[in-house]
Amino acid sequence: MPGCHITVMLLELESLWNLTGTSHWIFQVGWQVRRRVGSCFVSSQRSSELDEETTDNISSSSALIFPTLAGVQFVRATSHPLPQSHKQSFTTKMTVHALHIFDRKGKTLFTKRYSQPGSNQTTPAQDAEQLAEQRKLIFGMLFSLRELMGALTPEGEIPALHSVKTGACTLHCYETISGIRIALYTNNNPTMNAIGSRAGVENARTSFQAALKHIYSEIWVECVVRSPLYRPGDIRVNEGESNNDGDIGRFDIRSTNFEQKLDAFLQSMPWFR
Amino acid sequence: MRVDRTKQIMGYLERRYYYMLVTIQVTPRRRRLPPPTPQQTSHPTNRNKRQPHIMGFLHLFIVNKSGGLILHRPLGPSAPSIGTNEWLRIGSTFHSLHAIAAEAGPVRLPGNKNSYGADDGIEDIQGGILLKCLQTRTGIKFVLTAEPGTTDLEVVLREIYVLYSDCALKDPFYELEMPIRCELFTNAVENLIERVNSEGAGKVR
Repeated sequence: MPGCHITVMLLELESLWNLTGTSHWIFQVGWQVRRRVGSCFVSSQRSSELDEETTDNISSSSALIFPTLAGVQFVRATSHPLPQSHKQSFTTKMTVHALHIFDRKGKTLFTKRYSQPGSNQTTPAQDAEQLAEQRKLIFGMLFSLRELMGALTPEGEIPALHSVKTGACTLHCYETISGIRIALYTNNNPTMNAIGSRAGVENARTSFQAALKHIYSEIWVECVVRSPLYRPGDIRVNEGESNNDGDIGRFDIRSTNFEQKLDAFLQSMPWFR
Repeated sequence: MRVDRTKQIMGYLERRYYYMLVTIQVTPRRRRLPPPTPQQTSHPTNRNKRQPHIMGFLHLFIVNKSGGLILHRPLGPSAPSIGTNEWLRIGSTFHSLHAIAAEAGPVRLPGNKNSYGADDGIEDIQGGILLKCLQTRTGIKFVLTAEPGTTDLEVVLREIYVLYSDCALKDPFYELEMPIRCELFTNAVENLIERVNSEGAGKVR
């Protein structure tokens, strides 16, 4: 997506801004500049020069890229004013894709998707099956990654897994002592991570961790665990399994207002669109 | 006679002690890293200089496209020592998890290829340690671990890829996908880490 690459570049160029004399040329040192098919790069410019030329669509600007021997790439671009606050100028796509909660044995306690998969040809039954498969993969992956980190961590540090980033999305994980794992899939937007720093000092890892911790302690424990109908180990998975007769009599999360509270909390986060 | 017996015993003990010393001083299997440069706070003329970033690199390991480990190397004094069998296990586990992470995500990149043309997978793990992985188009994964707070891991990783292609691939005796035994490569990696530790990642080249 053009948005992701452009945000990466804009963030890095901030620090190099003072090196450039003219406002039309931006130095980009490093390997991160790549041209996607059909898309162009936009560099940020001083807003004083560009008040007239504002474009809403980032990809409509043109750019020229000259790789040099030193790896420095000069980018000349047409205008896009430097956004005063990062929030309004970047993509308004959903940044949270899904949330899963697993128990210690790997059973899914709760799962929710916030963005729909792109392809339309899967029927709901296939979709549910795919989702069940994915959930098992996610749990297995979290389990194995946690062990891997334990092997690689030096003795002084506590092994923990906070986030796993792939090219497509980022997985944030929070694990409690009782083995409950909360997994949150978000988009790979670096400004989202910058916005998401609540303390303002540390990076987004802290704030995603803080948010997941809040989800566990304030929302899960309050709404589900303290519900009088709750029996640990007897939770019914609520994703499209209404035809499962064996689940009658089990505790259903829909009987609590966990989901509403969760949605309200996530939407109140600055990084949720 | 008693003196002789004592001498005999002393001789025996001396020999044992000598054997013990000899076995300890056999050349170590891998070259010891130089001791870390001490922080320069005490020297009066350095008080005004900016402190270098604390770069705590831990390990570098390289996995080939079938999942076998071709290099593992500690990069710093705080790296935990891990046995060879465990390394092999870590290498193949990481290889599978790298691919599973792309499968398990709710969205996929088009064609499952990331922006560098390589298959999508784990790029970055944060937690008790920082782990960065670079997968090339040929399927080789370069993985670098470091203590939290270390910056510029991607720059160093890219540079290690360049060193690999300069030293290991151009070595006429090196077979692809086999364990790397090129001294030039290991020396270059050590020099790179020393340079980065002392001068920061701006001086990578």
